[in-house]
Amino acid sequence: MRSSMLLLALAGCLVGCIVDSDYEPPPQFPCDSSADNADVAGTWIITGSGTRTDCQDDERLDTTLFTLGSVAITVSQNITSLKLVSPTNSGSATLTLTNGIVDGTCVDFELTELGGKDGKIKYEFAGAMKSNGEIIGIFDGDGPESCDSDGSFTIRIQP
Amino acid sequence: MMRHTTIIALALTLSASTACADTWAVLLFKTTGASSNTAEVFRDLLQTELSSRVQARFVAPEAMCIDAVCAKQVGVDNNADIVVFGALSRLGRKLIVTVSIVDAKSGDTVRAHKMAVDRVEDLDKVAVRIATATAEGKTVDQTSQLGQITRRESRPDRRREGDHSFGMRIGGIAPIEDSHGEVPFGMYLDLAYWFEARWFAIEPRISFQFDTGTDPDRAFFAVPIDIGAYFIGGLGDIAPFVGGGAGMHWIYDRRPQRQDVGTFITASHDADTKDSAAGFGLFARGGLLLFRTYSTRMTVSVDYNVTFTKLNGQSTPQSVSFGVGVLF
Repeated sequence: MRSSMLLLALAGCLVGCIVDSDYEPPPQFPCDSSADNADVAGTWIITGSGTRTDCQDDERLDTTLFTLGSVAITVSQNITSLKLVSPTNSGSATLTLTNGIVDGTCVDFELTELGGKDGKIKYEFAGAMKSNGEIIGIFDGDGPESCDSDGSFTIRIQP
Repeated sequence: MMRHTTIIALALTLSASTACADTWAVLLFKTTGASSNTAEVFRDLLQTELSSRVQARFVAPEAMCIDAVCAKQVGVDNNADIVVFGALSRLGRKLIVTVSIVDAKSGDTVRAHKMAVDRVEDLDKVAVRIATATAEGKTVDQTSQLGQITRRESRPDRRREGDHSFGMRIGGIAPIEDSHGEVPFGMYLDLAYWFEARWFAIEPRISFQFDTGTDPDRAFFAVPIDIGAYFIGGLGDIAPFVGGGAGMHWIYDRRPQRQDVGTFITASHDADTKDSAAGFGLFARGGLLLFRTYSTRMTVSVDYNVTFTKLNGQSTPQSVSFGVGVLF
């Protein structure tokens, strides 16, 4: 009995002790694909936070907490698909939106930056449209270089 | 005149090979404070050394000269072509040997040598050196070689003395602008060797400069190794000094640095960036030397330091420091 409790305590410690991060994963926001398609077209401002690891070329980029932000991104919607309207470039950097899908309240899309000061950076967003008009979800990122990132995001939509 | 000069030159430079044997007269040496016996021995030594280097007939008239006019007359009287005369003079502990070689026909002094020794035992070496210099057309300094160095020549030249001290200095350091992790204030400890003359001082030093831990996110540690020189503007107990120096500086720098990734989607954080580098450095110093007339002195000084390197993206870190030192 005593050894079982010890094992349980050890397992609890492993879960709690190994994860050493300032970033706290958000609670899951299940989306409903059977609901009517959400209207997400408009100008998006993305905010959020996350962690970045494995930046072998520049370890200064590794962090347990970064804040995410964005310029105003205008997105159009054709029933289930999303399309980037603007901006598509800034100087030598370009922005593309791919795999943008609205399915009920589920909103998935990818944003990829190329040619900027940090090279290629790709984020995969998976979120749910909430009743307050915001999209809330989690993201996964690749880049710059070997960096991997993940975190949570919120999109405020201005029609 | 020309002919005689040519003959003498040949006799001096090609002595061993000439078939025309001139007559050389080596006179008694005038003595001042030296014994006549010593002078007699030196004349014999010099004549012997000359005869082994110059193909000539030697005579030793019982005459003594102190100038070329007299030497010319003695040469004429003794049918000599070349007359060698000179003096041994004691000046304190020094024994000064002067030798002149005169063309008896023209009365011209064709060569003159002077050497000083501090003991009579070195006169045999002087005889060798002067004979060699005469025969080879050199100065006596050019004839030095192992076995022929006098004790006086073997001594190092006398130099002016200064005061030798060790120094320790402690004080505060304030980085300028964004240098040294942008830490507002730190401390330093200098260990130095201080050579002080009447109007200047020379100081090699090693310095340990560090932050005082006021900001846990920022730190620096620097080790400059410099050589400085200072002008001291006074001889009293309070003397201003000013100067500077150069050396190698090593610096470690830790600071939070904002990292922005992305152009449209930006991810930002403050990174704990650490960097270290070594580079050429300069410093300028001004201050006061206190209690200068004592063997233990104090200094108060202000330094400006600059290192020509780049740390965490910041170039040429600079600082100003104020310190109090002791020399003992």
